[in-house]
Amino acid sequence: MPTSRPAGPLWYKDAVFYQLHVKSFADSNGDGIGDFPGLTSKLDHLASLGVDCLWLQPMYPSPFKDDGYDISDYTSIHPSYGTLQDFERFLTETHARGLRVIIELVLNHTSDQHAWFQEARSSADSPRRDWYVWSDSDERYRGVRIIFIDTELSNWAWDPVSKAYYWHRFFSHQPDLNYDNPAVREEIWNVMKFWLDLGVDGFRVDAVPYLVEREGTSCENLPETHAVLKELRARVDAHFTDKVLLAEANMQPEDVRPYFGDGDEFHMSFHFPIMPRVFMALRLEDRKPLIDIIERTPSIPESCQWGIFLRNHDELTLEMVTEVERQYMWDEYAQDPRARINLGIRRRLAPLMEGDRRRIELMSGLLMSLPGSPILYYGDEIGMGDNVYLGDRNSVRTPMQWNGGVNAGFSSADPERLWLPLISNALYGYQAVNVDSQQRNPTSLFNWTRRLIEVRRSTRVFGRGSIEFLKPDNHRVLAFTRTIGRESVLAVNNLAGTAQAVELDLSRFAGAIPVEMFGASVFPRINHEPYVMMMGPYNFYWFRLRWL
Amino acid sequence: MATTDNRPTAADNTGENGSALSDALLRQLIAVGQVDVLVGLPTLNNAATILEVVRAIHVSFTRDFPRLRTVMINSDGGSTDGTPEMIRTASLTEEDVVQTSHSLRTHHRVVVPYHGLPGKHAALRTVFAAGELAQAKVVVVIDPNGPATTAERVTELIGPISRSDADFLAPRYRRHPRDGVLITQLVRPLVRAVYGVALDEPLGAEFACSGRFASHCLEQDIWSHDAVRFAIDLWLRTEAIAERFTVGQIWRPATTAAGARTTLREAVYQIGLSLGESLRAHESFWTKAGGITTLHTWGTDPMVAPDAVAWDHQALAEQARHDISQIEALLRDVLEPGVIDQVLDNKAGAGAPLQDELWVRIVYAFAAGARRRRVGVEQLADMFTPLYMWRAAAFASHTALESPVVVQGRLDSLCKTFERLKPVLVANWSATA
Repeated sequence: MPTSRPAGPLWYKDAVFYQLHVKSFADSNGDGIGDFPGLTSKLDHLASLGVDCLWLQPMYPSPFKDDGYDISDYTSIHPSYGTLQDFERFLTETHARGLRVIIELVLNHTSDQHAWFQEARSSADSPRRDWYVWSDSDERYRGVRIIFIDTELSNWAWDPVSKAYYWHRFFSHQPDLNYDNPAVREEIWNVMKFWLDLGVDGFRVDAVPYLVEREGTSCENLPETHAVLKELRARVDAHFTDKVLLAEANMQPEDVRPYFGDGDEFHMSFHFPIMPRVFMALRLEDRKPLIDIIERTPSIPESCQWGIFLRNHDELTLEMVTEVERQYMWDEYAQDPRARINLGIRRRLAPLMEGDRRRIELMSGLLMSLPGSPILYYGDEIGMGDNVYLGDRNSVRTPMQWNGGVNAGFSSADPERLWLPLISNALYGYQAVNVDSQQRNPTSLFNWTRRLIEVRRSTRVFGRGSIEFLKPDNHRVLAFTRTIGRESVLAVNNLAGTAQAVELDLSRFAGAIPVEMFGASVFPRINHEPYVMMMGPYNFYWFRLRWL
Repeated sequence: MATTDNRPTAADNTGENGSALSDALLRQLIAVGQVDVLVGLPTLNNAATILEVVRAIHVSFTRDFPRLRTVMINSDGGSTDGTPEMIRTASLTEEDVVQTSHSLRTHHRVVVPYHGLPGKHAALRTVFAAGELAQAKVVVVIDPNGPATTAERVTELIGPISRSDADFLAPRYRRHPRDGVLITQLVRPLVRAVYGVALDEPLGAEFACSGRFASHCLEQDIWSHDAVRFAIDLWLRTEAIAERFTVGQIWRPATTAAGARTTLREAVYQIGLSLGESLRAHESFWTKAGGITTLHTWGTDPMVAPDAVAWDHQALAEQARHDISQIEALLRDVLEPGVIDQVLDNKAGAGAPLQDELWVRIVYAFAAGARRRRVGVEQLADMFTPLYMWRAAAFASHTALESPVVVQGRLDSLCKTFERLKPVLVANWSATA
């Protein structure tokens, strides 16, 4: 039984990821903004939780018009977060604890404050002019959809300095790089090599479908874009080992599939559509939405992996569901209109579950047992709340709640100076929900989550195994087996808030002895008769099927 | 002590898909749940001693480990003397009750027949599988045929494993040096030299091990192999050494060799087969192992050894001489010319000496032969038997009038010869790769 941290070139298939904002995690210098020395001081918490890889939100210099995804310097650290030396020390300390680190890589665009763009706009003769996509008119690539329809009217923006239009798929302050230019590709490789040489373990690559533009197309998912990505992957493989590239492509799984190539493009990609359907299945008390999306998910190369999550730094996106489904989700999970943003819901896991520990546990159990590598969002391990009265998606980016003391132990700054106010309401406030108290309480959500991760790590079946749904008559019960080689695990989940009985056809496993994985309790041997189980509200069980 | 009295029916005794656990046992294990200590008690017609053993186990549990979760599992090989029934219904004497006062926990007692193939290895597999399911931290196997079992001795077996001081605890006996010839002339010096560990009793039936080691053994694909079928005790010890589990020894009461349940020929055949298989399985370990590691021994040295049992070594020598003459031609396929010449020169008379160095070279040649497989392993074991009989008879003959101190010196010298010539085995073994 593997109990050590994942190793080898496919480590990411067994890993549990943990996403965090440096600015929200821990502030070491009292300026109200989290930083790398602060994060470094909290690594023991993360190691104790049992996660394997940290995914850092952008930590580059940036004007912060898009939460750091508008990068103005690709090879430095934002001064608020510390220095490059601070980052290197953080990396060393993280690796010393057996954890890995992946960082953001925004390929598609830079900030308009980046020196490259400033140089490019300075003159039509600038050597960097062709690093971006320019046009004398805004007529090229007509029909290409606008992503941020709330704020942008066109994918072209007029640059008064150079008297020309530049192309941007996202905000107008984020000009797209021109990947037809070999110099751009070379420079981006230099950026990647810079961080990989420092020791980072990979990149979460932002907004990958939009790198290349071609007239008469949607300018998305083009073969030329795949060629650029394959070239970068090949260079990573040629120079480094055990690195991972994780793609952000918010699309249906069959559309994401090409980003894995033949195992020669991305190692991982997010599976966006699973997330809303987990929430939907729970509210409907019906496994159908979840089974539908998993069964339509295509197979991927052996070396590749899906990244799955419940919540992240953005809204709970409902882009990948139908209008009917979206309205249902809004009605059920975002009755307060302030909880809605774009096509999603800006809330954290615990409030979405109405603070119900049983539902939080069931959702976490699903996250850890469905196919893919799970990604935890910081604070969800203690059930942190949100603040929908903050702008944009800052509702889910508030400072980490370390203890019940001043500023929740996040910072020694005056409370007014914190980059975002702390959650301080009676239900989720830091006096009630914090790491310190939960570490001391053996039955806390933190300690339960730690145990969940520990149990997941006891087998590779969750990271690498196949999935087969059992589909008993009772639609409120989601039951599936995960299998790798001779090892099988049976997961049975009661999606309902009421007790349920279910008969499972386990005849394929006749002779096996189910051993419950959290408590090692032995259950009666499986035979050719229906296997009857009684499930409490929102109960879930994982059984290792033993042949002894 | 609560007896989980789900008496199995005949139909109950067959689990599915070759399981080591019958449905009846499984049901009882579900009731038992997780335990800290599991004591396995393989039995076959042990009615004479079994009550004493059961009481000893119970007193040990209650008096010395009142906080631990415990279970005793009797795996019976088909006794016709009522042994399982006696275990199931065993009650405590007044003295036991006084000694043990109040028990904090329910002590479970499970009685099941062997499941699947007969034999000690099947019984142990059942015990290990039960330990795995019950998440036992300590697995102890008591030999009801062994020296009288007392609560103190059960406690001694549990202690080092429960404290995580050892993963495998082998018994160590005070023997008369002329006793246990198969052990002193072959198994002990061979295991000692080859595996580099000073293990006194490679074949002892009683032992204790960690749940970790029991689980490791269960995972090995060996339970139908001859090495395990014929000499599970030997395989367990060599596996523990080769896989670098922490191995220790524990003094047990003085003993003589257990009464034979098989003929000498069968015993040599089985041990030879098992040794050959173990060497093959662990070659990556022992071909690199050097020196001799001394094992920590727990318990109290009984100091005094009983006298050796007398036996007819002259008849054995005659039999050996006859048998060797029948297989001279075959021996040439196994032994080097120099060795076979010496064998044929020396075997002339009953009681003719078989010098240490020649004996060791013969043993090593057969070991390498098992690796080479030019001759079948079973046939090798057949051929080896008369050579062993010759050595055993010669040893008995030449030490008959010697003092135990002198005989012990001979045993020590033999061990050193095995050690000195190990490079010969390694070279021959590697050459056959």
